[in-house]
Formats: sequence, structure tokens, C-alpha cells
Amino acid sequence: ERAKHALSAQHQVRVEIEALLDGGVDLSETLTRAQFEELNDDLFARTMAPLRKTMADAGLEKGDINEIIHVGGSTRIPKVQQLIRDYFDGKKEIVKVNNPDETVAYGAAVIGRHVAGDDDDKPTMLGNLLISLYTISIETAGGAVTPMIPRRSRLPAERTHVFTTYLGRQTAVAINVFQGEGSTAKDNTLFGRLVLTGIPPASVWNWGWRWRPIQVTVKVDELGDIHVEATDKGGSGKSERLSIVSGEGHEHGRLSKEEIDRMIREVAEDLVEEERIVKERVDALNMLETYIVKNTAVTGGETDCEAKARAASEWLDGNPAAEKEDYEEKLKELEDACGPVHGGRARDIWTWPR
Amino acid sequence: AVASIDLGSEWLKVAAVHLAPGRVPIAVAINEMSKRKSPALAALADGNRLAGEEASGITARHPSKVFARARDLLAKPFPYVRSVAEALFLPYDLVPDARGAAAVRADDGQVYTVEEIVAMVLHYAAGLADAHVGAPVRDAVVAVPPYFGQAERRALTQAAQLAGVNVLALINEHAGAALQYGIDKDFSNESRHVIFYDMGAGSTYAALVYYSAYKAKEFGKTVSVNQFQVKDVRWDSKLGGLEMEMRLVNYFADQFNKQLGNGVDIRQSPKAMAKLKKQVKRTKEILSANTAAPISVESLYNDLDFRSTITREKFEELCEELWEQALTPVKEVLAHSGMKIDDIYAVELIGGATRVPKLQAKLQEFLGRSDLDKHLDADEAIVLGASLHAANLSDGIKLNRKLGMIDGSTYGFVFEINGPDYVKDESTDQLLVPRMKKLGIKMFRSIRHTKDFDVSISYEKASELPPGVTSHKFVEYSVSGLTDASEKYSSRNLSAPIKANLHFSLSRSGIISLDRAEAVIEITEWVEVPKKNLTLESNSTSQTLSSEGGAANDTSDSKENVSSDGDANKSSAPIDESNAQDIVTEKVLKKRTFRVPLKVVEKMAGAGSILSKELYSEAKTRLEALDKKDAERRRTAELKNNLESYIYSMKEKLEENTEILTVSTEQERESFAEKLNEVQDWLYMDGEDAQANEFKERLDQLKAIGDPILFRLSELKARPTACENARLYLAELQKIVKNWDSNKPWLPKKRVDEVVSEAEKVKTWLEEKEAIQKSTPVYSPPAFTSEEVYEKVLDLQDKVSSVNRIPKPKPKIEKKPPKEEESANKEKTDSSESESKEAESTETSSESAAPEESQSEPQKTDDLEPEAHDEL
Repeated sequence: ERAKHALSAQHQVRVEIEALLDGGVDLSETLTRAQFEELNDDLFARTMAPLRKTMADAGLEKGDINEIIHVGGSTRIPKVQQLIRDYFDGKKEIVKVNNPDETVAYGAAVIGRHVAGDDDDKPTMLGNLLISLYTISIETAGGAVTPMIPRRSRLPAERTHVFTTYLGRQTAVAINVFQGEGSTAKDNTLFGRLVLTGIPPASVWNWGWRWRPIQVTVKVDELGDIHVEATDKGGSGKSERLSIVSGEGHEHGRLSKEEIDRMIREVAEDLVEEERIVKERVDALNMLETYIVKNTAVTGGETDCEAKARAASEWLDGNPAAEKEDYEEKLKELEDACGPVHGGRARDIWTWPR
Repeated sequence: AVASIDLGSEWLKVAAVHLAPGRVPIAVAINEMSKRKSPALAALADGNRLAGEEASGITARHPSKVFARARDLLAKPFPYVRSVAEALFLPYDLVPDARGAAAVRADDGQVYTVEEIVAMVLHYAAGLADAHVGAPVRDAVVAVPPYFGQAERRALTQAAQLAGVNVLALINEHAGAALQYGIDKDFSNESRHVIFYDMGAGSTYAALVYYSAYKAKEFGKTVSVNQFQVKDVRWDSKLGGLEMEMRLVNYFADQFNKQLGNGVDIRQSPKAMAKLKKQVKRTKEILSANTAAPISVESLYNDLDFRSTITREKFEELCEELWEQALTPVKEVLAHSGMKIDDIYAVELIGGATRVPKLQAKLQEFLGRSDLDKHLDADEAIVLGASLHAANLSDGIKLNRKLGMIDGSTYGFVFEINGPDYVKDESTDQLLVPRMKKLGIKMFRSIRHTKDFDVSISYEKASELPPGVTSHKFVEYSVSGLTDASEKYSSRNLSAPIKANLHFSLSRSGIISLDRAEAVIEITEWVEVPKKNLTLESNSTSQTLSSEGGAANDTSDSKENVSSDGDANKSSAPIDESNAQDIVTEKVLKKRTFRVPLKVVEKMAGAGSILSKELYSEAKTRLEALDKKDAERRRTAELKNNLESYIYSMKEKLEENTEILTVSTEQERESFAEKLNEVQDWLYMDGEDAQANEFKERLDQLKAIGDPILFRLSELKARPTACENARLYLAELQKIVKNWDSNKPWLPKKRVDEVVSEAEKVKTWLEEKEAIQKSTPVYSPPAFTSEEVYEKVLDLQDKVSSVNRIPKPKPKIEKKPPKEEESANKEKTDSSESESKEAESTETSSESAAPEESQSEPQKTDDLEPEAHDEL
């Protein structure tokens, strides 16, 4: 028994039995894992029969199995683990629960609690006892992160920071919440994601408003739950919230690898699409504004064309959230009154500086 | 991740704090036998170091090489260690070391200090934490019994350092249990007193703990915070389960000696006593459940078996006086605290020996309670509580529940000053730390003296000393530099006697030390300052100022000024002369304080001193050598195992695998089998002592023969599959090419023909190779491999993909130069036209250039200097 246990951790063990035979003869020999496996080769082969039968009866393929969980102390034997791994073509990793000896009893205890009617949702003491404290950061353009809640901050903790949009006239921002001590996003763990949309674009007339201020507040409560709020402080007042619960066993608060990969993909796709839309809007706006400036009265007096230009300028100030189609329509109205783009009186031609 | 280690007399437990999805964050680590507690043993046999279960396995056959009770032998004088070993029938080769402490000599002649033995055990414990977490764990809290004194605590800390364990803190065992008990309870409505009664293998103690709650302000709101304070702890450091076992051992030894006759005493046989002790332990455990238990030892002595039985009554009779002794710690705790049994909310039992029925009955009788409290796991309460402490002390982990811990020093400390001409102003030693004083504090003392002196710290005279310790004094420091400082400043005018300030600290591990000292010297000096003699006469102001300025210079200058002033004013105002003569200076006393750091050197010698820097370094080197040897031993075993596994699996294949018959010749198989047998024979003879590299060489030699056969065997199946896949793709490719003709007519014919040609080549190559292979025996190297087939198919696939990606060309429209009207429309989208238009704009707008530039300038400035900001 002792030798069997030891061989799961070592490749060789010394077997010592005193007074094995009459006459006080002691046994002292070494046993290797290879010898142990050779002795039990037929037994190990038989362990696979229940596995194959179960798979066949269930009508499942190997690829259908998500996780393999060991139950029972003998599943620690390396040969047993290897046989199971080989059966699944080496593509399934065995889930290491705490202790295969205790899995069944643990589950029975959970059922016992349920049967006894003690079903309150209080978390178990140990499960809710510890909080993993890492720096909480927000990703900024270029992949850097801005720390919000430093490690080992006293809980509850809260911090507010004002970020800005990255592109001129950007109308949406993604707030990626990271956990860890790295200085760039890829060195940390993505913990959650928040998207704030519907941000009105900054007008070209107001240079100071080229970028919109986005206020982000991160709060970690007593239980270690993370709450994030993002608000557009540039006038629209739009805001979004996100909560990340630490939860029992820290499972709820964690993103699975699949979720993280999907998020990363979505971020890339969303940003490409958003950038294209923004660019089209900006181009249309630029054309309209350029035309307005060209036809704006420079001296006293006002022609019909100039009156239309002034009206368009006022419309522009009053409609910061207009779409590309709106700009194009307004430009067409101006062309009706002032002539085609780049036409008109030569002496008033003026080009917007770039 | 952090760990906690409960190192007991007989057993050690390890808990790890590790946050991972799906796992309990705090758990007891299991050892290689799947047990939650491990023997606290280290063995040195044949130059190898064994610890824990491995050491336990060889105890019966090599009792003199397996070291037990190492924790209790730390920092003890050699005679004490020897007496303990003899009483427990521990047949070690003990020798005194340079400090007068004990060391053991291994069978290879190497001598190891007790610190090194303890380090081996702690190294094993850290290994269990590593295995549990799956990564190295080096920070740990170590639990110690309350009677551990200063020397023991420091020696244990040093042993942990030797083992590569960073001790975050030592925690008293009772504090760990109290932490574990209270963490999930709320005391805001009801405070309570609890006694923790712990009887382990080697000792017994009772600790009185008071749980309560206090109000605290947190972010503006009042919250209730739970806390506990250890009020008192009393112990019997000799009473434990082991003492009971020794009663049984001696009882059975006497029985066996009677059977032997001839005056023979098996106590003289270490092996016999080791076997007897092993079986007695089991018998004692059975007696906790049954009223009688057998004992059976095969070949106890000279091939004679020993068989007997004992009843529980007899066992209790043998331990008659122990039961009363067991109550002493509880009685003392109650007496010293002035509390009654009724004041106690609960008496919690911990420690393995509290399972003995008689002990429980005795406690019940004394406490007058029908049930004793057993809410805690007797074995694991301490190590789990210590892990909570470890989590709290670590970075990155924080306890979600708050339970304040106030534990105190289990010994009181006094200090004494000795030095030339030092006059003791008190008849007794000066109290430095009263007993149960809170841990983690700093203390300050001041003495009046002018010469270098010594400071010694001792246990309080009235208190019991740690086991094996004979002197109350446990550490001494020499404080120097005071004589020099005194002489340096003696010529100054001292305003107060010279003082020396002493800064002590009592760490949270319960270790007291004199950290630093400084001399404080206060002097008084006369400093000349001008005496201001302002007069109301305005015509004298300038003269007075001039005189004051003059006073700042030396005396002679002052006189000259006075004389000059007098002369200048004689003719105009005779009265001014008298004013000038009144100007004087005065001296004022000023205090100055100097602080001079003093040199503090610890100069303790004897069994209680820690390892010196040199000894520590030597010990570290020895342990690292053992580590290296251990790693080499494991590597050798692994390589040997690999070789043996290969031999077994290849033999089985040669005998049972029918397909292997086809890919190898009989002569080849016989030759290989012969080689396998040859190596296997070598393995069990010379191979017993071979080096690691030799196993690897022989394995490589065998693989050189076996791998080609296995390769041919796998290719036997893989090659036809690859060929079939290749043909399927070639058929598919024909469809693709047809599809190109109908749907992608723009593809260059040259590229398409190239693909078709390449496909034809692959097909031809495949046919040729298959033909060759068909005429090649399967036991020869194959004409081509599945890998080659896949390579060619993939190359072809790449070519197809590149052609498939050729985009449809856009139509090119060429038109005549546009008319004026058409040109105007085209200007909207044609950038080249825009450029010429811009040129025209520049020319025609030359008249208004100045105002335009002024308008654009501010905007350019804004554009060129954007604000720095975090962008999302």
C-alpha cells in the first residue's frame, strides 16, 4: 500500500518489510514504476472497459466530452491517467478538483444540505472568505492601461478618472477593465467590458471640443465586487454601468478563455466598423463646412446664397448629432442656391486651411 | 499563494492559501500517501536524505538514522537532549556542537545540527505546499507551542531560512486555533470566554481567550468589528500522548523480558524498541474505541514473536497520575484569571491525545459538563487558523471577514544593566515586558551612565522556564561608544547627566530584541547677544543703531565706534554722550542636545545562541548538497524507469503484436529481443548502481533498433490513408478548375495551366511511388512516407489558394478631354482637378491674404498643440 502510493509521486520506491519469514529474515527491495505497471498491465487494461461502454451506451463521440473529473483515490495512479488521456487522443485535460478521495463525500454533503432544507443562499464560509486583490486598470489607446484601484487598496475603494475619445468625432468608446500588475493590456487579465455609444461628435468650430471627456468611475465594494460606470461629460450625459461579481469560488467574476477571445474579436470588429462610420461622417461634415465657409459673407451685405450659407451654419450648430446623410442633404440645398462645389464668384473663393 | 505549517512533536500539517477557480481557497495539503498529516521525521541513510513518509518507512529497520522530536530538541543543551533521547529510546549518535547544543552524526560521518534536521522537515513541508498549489510556495506562517522560548523561536526561524521558507510570522498554536474558532462567528451581541485545551503528542496547554466586538468608524459609518484576546495560557510541556505510549512500551517491555528470562532486557535493542513503539501506537489508538486491544510484534527479538493484550482499565491504571496532571493547566488558567468554570462559554478540545476517553471523562468531571466542546478539528484547527494569519500578512490576499487578534507573550521579560561604575538604583531587575503583553510592540528605556555597558534580557524570575533551559538569562548585548561620547563632550557644560536610550522590540513572532541604542547629551552654553537699549529720543536713534551694529563686532571695534560717536556728537548735543556709554552686550544660556548612535553587539554564547554566519553558511551548503543529491537520485530513478518501461513495452509488442511480424524480419526480431534481454539482465545486476546517463545511453541504443520498426508499423496504416486523402483532393481540384472556367473567366490562363500541371505532377509522383512501394518488402524502409504525401498536397493547396484569390479586375474607361460643363461636374471627385483649382484660388484671393492668415493662425496653434490625455 505504501509502495503503491509512493510510486504515484516517484519512479522508484524501497520496500522494507521486517521479519517477513521465520528466522527473522527482512525484505528490502526496490520497486520501480515500470515494474508496478507491468505487474498490473491486465488490470489497467480492464479499467478502460467501463469507459468505452459508457461512451457507447450514451451514443457520444470523444469530441463531445468537455471535462474529465477523477473520482476515487486510485485515479491518481499515473498509468490510469495516461490511459484515459490516450483514449481521448490527448485532447482532454483532466480537471484537478481538490481531492479525489473527498469528491463524493463533498457532493453528498451538498445534497444533504439541500435535503435538510437549509437552502439559503449564504455563501460557504471559506468560499467567501478571501478576496484576490490585484490592480484594476482601464485600457487606453495603444494597449496601455491606466491603473484605477491599486493593489491592496482598503475596501471599499473608489476612483474616478476622466479619459477622452481617441478619434476626432468618435461616437463610441469601449472601456475594457483589466486585472493584474502589468503595464499593458496583454500582460493583464481582461475582467469585463463596457461600451458607451451615442456620444455626439465634437464640432469642427470648437477646437477645444475636439475630444469628448469620458468620465470613468471604478468602485470595489466590501465583498470585492467591481462596479464600473462610464459617463460622457461633454454634454449628452450618456452613461453605462457594469458590475463584476467576485462570487463564491471566484468563478462568477472570471471570464472564461472563450469569453475573453470572443470579446477581443468583437472589440476588433466593432472598432473597425465604428472607424469606418466615423470617417464617412467626418468626410461629409468637412465638405459641408468647407462649402459654408466659402460662401459665407466676408463683407457687408448678403446675397441669397450667403443667407443660405448662414442658415446652414446655424443648422450645423444646432444639430451636432446629425448623420452623414443629413450633411449630404444640406450640402445639396446649398448647391442649389450657390452653384456647384468650387463654383461661384472668383473673388470670394477661399480654402479652409489644412 | 502562502502556506502555514503546524510542526508538532510527532506530526506536521500543512495548509495552503491558493485562489483558483473551482477550488477551496484554504485547504490542508495531502502528502504522497494521501494523508493530511505527515510524520515530522527526517532520516539520513546511505548518504541520502529522506523526510516525512519515506523516513517513517525505514524507522523499524534503521532506528538510529531516523530523527524524531527534532522540534523539541532545538536550542537545548546537549545533556538535556541526551536525556530526552534516552527516555524515549531514541538511539541517535548524538554529539555536542561548538555551542554546547546537540548535533547528530550520520552514518557517513557528517555531523548535522538540530537546526539542519528541522530544516529538512520544513523543506518537506514546503514541498507538500508546492505540490498542492502547483507552484513554489515560499512564504509561510509557522505555528509554535506557547512554551517555546526565545532561543527556540529564533532557532526555528533560522531553520526555516535554511529550508528556503520565508517566515511571515510565528504564531502561537492557541492563537491559531482561536482564529479558526472565531472567524465564522459574530460577537457583537454577546462576548464570550473560551478555553482551548490542547493535548498533543508532546505537551498540553490550556489557553483562555476572550471574544468581543468593538465599534469602529469606517468611511463615515459605524461598524462592529469582532476581535479576540488571549488572556492567559498555561502548559505542561511534558504531558502528552507520547508519555502515555511510553507507559505502555515499558509495560510490554517488562512482559517480554519475563518471557525471555536470563536477565535479558530488550530495551538495549534499538530495533526491538522501534518495532515495539510502532505497534504500541496502534494499540493505544484501538483502546480509544475498544475496551481491550491486542498487541502483536513479529520477531521482536531473536526471532521471538511477542503477543499480548491489554484492557482499557489497565491502560488507565498505568497512567494513573497523568489524569490529574492533565487538569492542572485548566485549573491554573482559571485561578490566575480569577474566573470560575461557569464563566466559561466553551472548552474546545484540540490535539490528537484529547481523543483518549479517560481524559475526556476527567475533564467532564472537573468542568461539570455533560458534553465537551469539539467544534474544531483536533488535528487541523491550528494549521487552518495559521493559514488565515498567513493570508492576512501576505500581499494580494485579504481576509473578507475581520477578526482582530490580540495575542501576548507567554513569558515576561526583564532586563539588567551591567557596566563599570554603574550604580543600580533599583534592587530588582527592571520589568521590560509583563507576561501576556501584546505582541508586536516597541519599548523604550533610558539609563544614566557615562561608560560602555552590557544589557542582558532574562525571563522573569517568577516564571517557569522553557523546557531544558537552566538559565533565566537568554541574551546579552554589549553597548559601546558611550565612553567615547562622554569623554568627547565632558569639556562642555553638561546641563543634565548623560543618558543612554535603549530601543527594544517584541515582534509579532514573540521574539524580543534590543534593536538600537543612542547616547543623549544635553549641554548649556553662554552665547553673547546685544542688549537692546531703545530710547524715545528721536535724535539718538541713528546713533543707537550704529552702536548696536558695532556691538556685533569684537570688543575693540565696539570701543572705537563708541569713541567716534562721542566725538561726533560733543559739539551739538552733550547729553547724547551719556547714552552711548550705556550700550552693552550680555550672555544668554542656550540648550543644545546631541544624539550619538551607539554600537549594539549581541554576544550570547551557549546552546541557546543561533548559528553564527559561518555556521549558517556551512549548514546551507550541506543542505543544498543534499538537495542536489536528491534531485540526481530522482533523475536516475526516472531514467531507469524509462528504460525499464521501454523494455517491457517492446517485449510485449514483439510477442503479441501480429502486425509487427509483417514489418520486421525474424532475424531482426530475434536480434532485438536478444538485445532487450541483455539490457534487462544488466539492469538488475550492474544497473543497480549505474549513473543516470548510462540509463539514457542504453535507452537510446535500444531505440535506435526499435524506432525504425515502430515507424514502419505506423506507416503501414498512415501511408494508405495519406494516399487516399491525396486522391480525394486531386479529384476535388478538377472540380475547382472547372468552376474557375465558368465563374472566374478573368483568371490568367498561364496560372491555371500551372496549377493543372502541378496537380498532374503530384498524381504521377504518387503513382510512381506507390508502384515502387508495392514491390518493396514492408520490412524494408518505405519508399515514401505519409508525411511526404501531405507535404506535396499542401504545396499544391497553397498554389490553388493563391490563384483563387486573384480579384476581378475593374473596367478601365478612357474618355476624350471633357467639355467645360462636364469638367465642372467632374471636379467634385477628381483630386487632380482640385489641385489646379486650389492654385487658381490662391491667385485670385491674393488681395485678401492678410485677413485670411490672421483668421487661421489661432486655429493652427490649437491644431499643432493638442492636450495630453488618456484616450479610449
